[in-house]
Amino acid sequence: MPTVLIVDDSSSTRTIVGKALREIGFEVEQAEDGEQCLAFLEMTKVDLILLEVTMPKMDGPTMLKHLRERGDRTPVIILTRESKRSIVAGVMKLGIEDYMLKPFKPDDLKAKVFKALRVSEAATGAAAASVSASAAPTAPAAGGAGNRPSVDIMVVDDMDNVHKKFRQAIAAHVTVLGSVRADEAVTQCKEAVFRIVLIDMVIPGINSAALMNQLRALQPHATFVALVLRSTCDPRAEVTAAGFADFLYKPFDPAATAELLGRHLEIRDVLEVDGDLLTATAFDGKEDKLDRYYDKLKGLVKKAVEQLASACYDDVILDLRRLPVRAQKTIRFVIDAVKEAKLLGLSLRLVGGAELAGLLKRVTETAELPLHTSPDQARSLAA
Amino acid sequence: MIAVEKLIVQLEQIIRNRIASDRLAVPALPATATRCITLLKDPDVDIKRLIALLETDPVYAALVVRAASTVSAGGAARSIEQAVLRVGTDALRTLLLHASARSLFESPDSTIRHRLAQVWRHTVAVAVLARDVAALIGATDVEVCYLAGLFHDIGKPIVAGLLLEVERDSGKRDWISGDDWSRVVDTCHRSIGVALAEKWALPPEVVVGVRDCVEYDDADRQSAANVVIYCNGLAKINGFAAGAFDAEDARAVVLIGRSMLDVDDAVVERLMSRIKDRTEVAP
Repeated sequence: MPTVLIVDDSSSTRTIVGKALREIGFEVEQAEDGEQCLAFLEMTKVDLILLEVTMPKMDGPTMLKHLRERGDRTPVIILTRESKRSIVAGVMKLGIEDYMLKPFKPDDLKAKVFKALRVSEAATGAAAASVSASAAPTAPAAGGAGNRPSVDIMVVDDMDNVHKKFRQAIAAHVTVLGSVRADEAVTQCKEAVFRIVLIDMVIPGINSAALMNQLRALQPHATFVALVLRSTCDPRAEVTAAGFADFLYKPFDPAATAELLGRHLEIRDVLEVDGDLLTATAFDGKEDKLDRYYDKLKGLVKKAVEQLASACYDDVILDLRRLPVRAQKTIRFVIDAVKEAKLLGLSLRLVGGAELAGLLKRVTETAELPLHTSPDQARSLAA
Repeated sequence: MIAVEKLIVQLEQIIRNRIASDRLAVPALPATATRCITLLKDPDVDIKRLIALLETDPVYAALVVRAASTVSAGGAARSIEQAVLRVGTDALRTLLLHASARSLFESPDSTIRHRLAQVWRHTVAVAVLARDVAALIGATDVEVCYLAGLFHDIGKPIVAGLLLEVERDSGKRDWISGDDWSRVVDTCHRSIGVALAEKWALPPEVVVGVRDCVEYDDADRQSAANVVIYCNGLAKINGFAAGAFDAEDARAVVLIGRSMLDVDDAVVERLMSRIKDRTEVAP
């Protein structure tokens, strides 16, 4: 497992950050100041340093200067309350991977840690050496899901036939990817967005709970389900303690499988397609599932626009009246949808309410996009 | 050539003294703009008076009509009344201030005019980005951020004017290099910019934004000043600098701002992709 060294004079920061990193499978070491850090690194090598700027005895920039002078290029993320530009510019000169201002969101920290480790691995060419081959954590796409395709389910099981059996037990429209190795699962989690991830609880040489935590960092919105062999023991306590949301027995029972999917997979699509009219359906889930909604919607709009273009349509109407409006997500989605349609030579006409209109007007990039109040109005103007 | 450090110290002293004794020659807001902005401060603004006022000034009238013709899909505005209604009062205030600020970046001297044109290009890029970033992070007033961006370098043409005074007094041409000129202007402009923002009676939040856009303030992460600092760095490293700049400082500013404002890199990248076009049609 990669080791992260937290250098901070605040014991609460070391505790909170250390806990968050251990939960996703990292080894964590601590130092209270720059001197302790340098002494520690004389004896031990770590994969990443999280460094506070202001500390007693020896501050972060001084420590980093000494470290670089002795040829140590360990990647560093500055994690600090310091926002003075001259100080940050100074540490940037010494070589840092990233900067985070305290307080921060735990998910942002995790994403930056993964990103920094990937950069480090690429630079040293030692990915396999520094990171456990069984569960190598790699960076999620920058900015979250990005352009990764959406897949409903991933099955991680060392037995090749398990995902095939699972495929047979579920409806044809549900998309499934199988993985027989942990590193393959990690790669797939980098490349696609999953809604449910099923992980076998007994994979030779792999700690399934640690693997789940690392995949979760790459798939923060997925539901993780443990696959367990049917036995006389109730696995509920074990899988819950390991952090799984649910479990499913092997061999698969179609009724139990359908019930599980009903609990965790929203079958209803987020986009309704009727000719040239694409309608985003309402989002009634929890806020933390909204990224998944937007990812899915983006993928479906892209697919629908491609189909309309191949059918030689000139216009497409995108009805966003029921879209949950969130500034950054919505703007990014709208810009991408317009771009996608334009690329394919289609004129995209947006339909939306006052909230969306207000948001689009506030951003120069979208301010001049015509927004119609109904599909009929959009059609009449197109005509 | 001159000793720049000495010049900076002297110029800052002159500016401080002139501000203290109320002798700093800060250009006034053009009369029509002043009257219109005064009217616009009233929440129940008298639109007829506003239109009548605009009709007396062909330059501002033409600006409003042109702006109205680009913001709406309904084609060209056929009257000032229609234009004002289309533009809306908030945007009208921004439009008048934008045009008034633009007029300060003119100079009879061709070298200065060229340098100020670069500063103006940078200024508008910062303003446009500030409005976008403010909208993305959910800041309370995006127009305040736009104006703070637009006015963050407004002291520079006035410092340029002071340097021109020095040149005329000494009777020497080419007495200062382009880089030194930028350094003097960069160092001395802030207090003049604040004085002008106050004289033009800009909203207090804008004045604070102009005054404080030097160092990030962690106490109010989404402040207009923080937004302007971030967008200033962003504009510089994306080809909208006015002359030489400290690239390491600009990169640090962007790195800090990203975390300070919690902006999404992917969205900012998209906004930057068409910044050149958007600065040309701003506000």
